[in-house]
Amino acid sequence: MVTSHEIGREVVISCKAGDEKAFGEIVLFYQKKVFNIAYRMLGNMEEAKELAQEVFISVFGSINDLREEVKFSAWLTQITINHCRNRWKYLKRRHYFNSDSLDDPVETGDGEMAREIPDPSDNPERAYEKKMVQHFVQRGLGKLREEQRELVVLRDLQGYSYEEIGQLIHLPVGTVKSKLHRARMDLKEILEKLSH
Amino acid sequence: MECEKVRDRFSLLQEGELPPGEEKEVREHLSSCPECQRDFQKFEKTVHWLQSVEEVDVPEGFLSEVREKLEERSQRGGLSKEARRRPLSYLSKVKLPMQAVAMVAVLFLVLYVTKMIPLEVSHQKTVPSPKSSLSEEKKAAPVQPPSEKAYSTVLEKPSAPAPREEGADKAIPLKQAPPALKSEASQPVDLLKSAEQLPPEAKGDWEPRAKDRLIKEPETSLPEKKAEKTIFSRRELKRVERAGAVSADVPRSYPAAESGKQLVMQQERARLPSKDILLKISDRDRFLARLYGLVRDLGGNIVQTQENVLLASVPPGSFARFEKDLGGLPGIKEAPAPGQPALGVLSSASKVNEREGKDEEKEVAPIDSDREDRIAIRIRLVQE
Repeated sequence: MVTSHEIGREVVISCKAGDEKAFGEIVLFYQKKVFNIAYRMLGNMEEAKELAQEVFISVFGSINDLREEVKFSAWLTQITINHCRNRWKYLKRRHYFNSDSLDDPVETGDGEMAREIPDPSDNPERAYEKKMVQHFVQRGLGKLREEQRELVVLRDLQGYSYEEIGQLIHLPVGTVKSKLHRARMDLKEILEKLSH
Repeated sequence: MECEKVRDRFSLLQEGELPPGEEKEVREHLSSCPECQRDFQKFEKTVHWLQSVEEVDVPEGFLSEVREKLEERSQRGGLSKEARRRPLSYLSKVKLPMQAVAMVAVLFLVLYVTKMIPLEVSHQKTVPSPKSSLSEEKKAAPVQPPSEKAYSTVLEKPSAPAPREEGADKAIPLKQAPPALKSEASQPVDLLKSAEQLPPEAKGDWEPRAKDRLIKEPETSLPEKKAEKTIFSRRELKRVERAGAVSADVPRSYPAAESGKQLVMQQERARLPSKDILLKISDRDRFLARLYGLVRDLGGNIVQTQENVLLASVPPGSFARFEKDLGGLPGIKEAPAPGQPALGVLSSASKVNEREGKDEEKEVAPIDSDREDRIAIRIRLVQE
């Protein structure tokens, strides 16, 4: 689980003292996690990169507000979620996601490729590459409501526990479980529709 | 177990979090219900795909770009720090919440409406009132040439109740412009003087101009009145102000209400052709005996006598002679020079009046209103 990997407390303390080297260390340690959350939430590499960089800039600017250095990872994730929510709203207002169509070229980690979505339920391991599956899932995530996508990304993609998710988004564990189940069921329906 | 309840447990079943008994029950249902089984397989596949999603690599140069952005921001931040040292630019950066600004604006508006506008309205009410009264007077006496005849016409109109008190009599004309016009018009000596002081071009349009002069600057033609005004009007100022404020609203032609009646009475009293004379006497009895004779000779009479206040009424034409002969009466130590305005006498004796004011504040009964062609003279005696 990603959250089990915590950066040393002394690095956070050094960063609080203004040590740029320590800040660089923090960025390198957490960049993949922050960037991936952003990418799965926004579905766009460039947007995800911009957002992840903004997250670290915010961290550097407000790290002195963090009282308990041991909670740095959760604090960083919370900042990331907040940035994602704000960015999602901003892009939605500008109809950024409305252009998504089955005929549009799709973006993968290696660039754009033709949109060919056969039924992955037949034999995805055999018929498609892993990236194609990932893209397929990413499209499905994009169709979920923001709140559902957040839960699925944190739990199924990032591996956070229900308790950690409850603390991050300020919900009881039972609510997290039921909402996550609903999100998975909705995603199943979405992927089923996308495959036809 | 129903299909819906089984589907609600897909997540818990897939994660192995169902209690053993419940898990067995769900699995039994799945084995007997092909539709739920197919649905669960799709669910498992979805979760599997989700969990099999690999993390994407971070674009190259991520950290260096972060550093560059940080440096840019710090430079901009440095500039803003310099800017903050300048107080004006700091003020321009202050962002007030819109609600607070709106609240303050509303507060000022409410204060303006509740405090300022009533004041303005009251000023407007007091100022235009003379015009309306004047126009009423114009209706009563349509053409009033600026001559002595005009004054005598005005003099003949009002009844002659005795003034209640010096202060009240003088204060009303000061605060209430229409009575002021009439009461001043009722003082031939003053008004003739004033009419002489009017510029020739003003005489053609005497009424409004005289009105303005009487309202705005009575002290320019009668400087001594100013001191008198301040001394004599203050006692009754509030009472008259109240009456004046109401009278601005209540038309004189509709004195139906009780307050309206009082106001009309007050206004009538204010425009009486009355005079005030203060005399210092050494021998009271002798003076009184001769005064009675003088008044009788001039065709007037003594209306009322109190301890040191006498009310006499004489025909307007005889007033000048009365004033002249008054100085020659025996027992007088100090008398006004003939033709000297009675108000001047009053003014010069204002200190005495103030000292004896308490004794003299007794209300005096009004003069018979039938005698419209008389001048009411109040003679105050100061025993030396």
